Amino acid sequence: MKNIRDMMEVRDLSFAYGDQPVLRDMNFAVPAGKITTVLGANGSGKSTLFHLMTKNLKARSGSILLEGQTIEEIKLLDFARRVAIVGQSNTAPGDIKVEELVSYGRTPFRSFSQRFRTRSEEDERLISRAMEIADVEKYRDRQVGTLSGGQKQRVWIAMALAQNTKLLFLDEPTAFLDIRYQVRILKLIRRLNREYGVTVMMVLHDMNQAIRYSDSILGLKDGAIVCAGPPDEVFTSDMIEKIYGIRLETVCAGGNRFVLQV
Amino acid sequence: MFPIIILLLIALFLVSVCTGSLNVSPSALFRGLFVEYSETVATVYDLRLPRVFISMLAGAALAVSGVLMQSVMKNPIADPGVIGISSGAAFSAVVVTALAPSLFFLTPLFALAGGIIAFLIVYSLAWNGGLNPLRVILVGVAVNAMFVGLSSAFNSFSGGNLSGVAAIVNGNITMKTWDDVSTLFWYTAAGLILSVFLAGRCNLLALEDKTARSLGVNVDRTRLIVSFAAVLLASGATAIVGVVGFLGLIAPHIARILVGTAHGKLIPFAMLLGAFLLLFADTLGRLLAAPYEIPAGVLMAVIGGPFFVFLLKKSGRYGR
Repeated sequence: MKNIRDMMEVRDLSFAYGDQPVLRDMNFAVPAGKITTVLGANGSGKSTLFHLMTKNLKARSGSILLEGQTIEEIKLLDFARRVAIVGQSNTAPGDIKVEELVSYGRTPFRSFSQRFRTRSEEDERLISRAMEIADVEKYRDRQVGTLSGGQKQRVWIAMALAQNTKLLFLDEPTAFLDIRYQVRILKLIRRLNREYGVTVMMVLHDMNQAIRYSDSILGLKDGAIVCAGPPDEVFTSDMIEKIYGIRLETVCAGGNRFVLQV
Repeated sequence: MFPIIILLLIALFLVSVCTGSLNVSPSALFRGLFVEYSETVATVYDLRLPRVFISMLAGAALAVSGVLMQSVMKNPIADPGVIGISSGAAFSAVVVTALAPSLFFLTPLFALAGGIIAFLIVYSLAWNGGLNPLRVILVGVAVNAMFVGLSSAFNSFSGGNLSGVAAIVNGNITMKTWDDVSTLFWYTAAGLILSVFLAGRCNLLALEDKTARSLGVNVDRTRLIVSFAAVLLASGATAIVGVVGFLGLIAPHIARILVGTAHGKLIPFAMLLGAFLLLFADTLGRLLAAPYEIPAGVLMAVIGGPFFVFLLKKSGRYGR
């Protein structure tokens, strides 16, 4: 029986660059209303999986379903109306204002003729809301080039939020940020999920952050899923060794499990 | 910034129309055009006015073409002159002018075909799953050299005495007629209107391709449409005035320093600025060493270069 509570479903997915296989026979689901995090060593296929699920790459075989519909059948524009994506590297001209950049999130909803008119009330409302949630309202008239890395990342998340989708993809949202901003971004992501019901699928590097902020973990190793489930079940020393090829101890403190990384 | 450039352009227009080997005052010009016949004004109308309009139209076209090309190629030194579009268009125009002069009214169409071919060569050779900015320039420079060489060779074969061919090769704005004005007007108007409609898309092209795709933009198709507008503008201008280098490269950058990178403002401003710069260069070239003329392209490089460096120096943040 098909589970309608899955936002996305991946079935028998395989992918190769040339004759170099990257992903092999993947099967998993992204449950609606949850935060799902993909973990894996460098070269494990995380990014490839991310690009396949966001229509940046085409699957060799198998299928990826969004609310029961194959994403290959969904047009790019429709996909953008249903799924928002924050990629790993983002660049914008330095002189663009924060509000303007956030407003690009409305692009998929503006028809050809609307592009030349001022924004609709609905657009204005969603742009303001996105800036408020991502806490970039106070920079709305600042130029993006003058913001710090952490502030920029929140602006990119705000742009994705302006798309007002039920599903949000994030590729290593905390990369290149110092620890203060990493925590801020993760708290923002959790708030999006808990308060606004956004389903989140993200790639993270840090295991402790994944434990703390995810409902469900997918562990990748050489293009295959080696573990899937709630963080508490997944994070055992054996499993970490399986994913990363290094044995690390875990401890419990204050009711939370931590991986000792040094 | 807009009122300033518009006023400057109007002032330059009046100066340019009224001064030269024949001098008329603006009031005499007005009387001669609209009130009573005057031989001086009639000469100015036949010989100088078309040239003034052509300078402005071609300047606007080349500047906007540069803006679009830089946006599509994601490369600050992409310009129809640098990457071989203009020389491809010029070669094609040269061949038609020399072999089938009776088709002169179709020259812009052939130039467009030549420009498109040059663009496709550059684009396909530089494409490697994405556009590598360095590769675009390297391939473009090679394609440019090839077409420049072909045009020169063709010019030499024909003994260098076909004035129409030489004019295209050297970029010469003299001896233009009202027919040239109307031809250039239609090509430029079509290209500029298309460009204004594409401003929003150009803003999205300035993001990473993946980001634009995540917003539902078909990046490849958008690139092709914007490129077509750029090639149309550059080819039309090249067919009428020949190869004018440098303008398409610096006008967009000067415009960005002055009004920023948002294409909604950048495209109209580059249009006015390009018209101003080429008219300025042509007028100065006409006046400086009269009765001899310094080609607009030459002055463009001599004055535009230092001015551009001065602006770069002044706006410390630009380009970093």
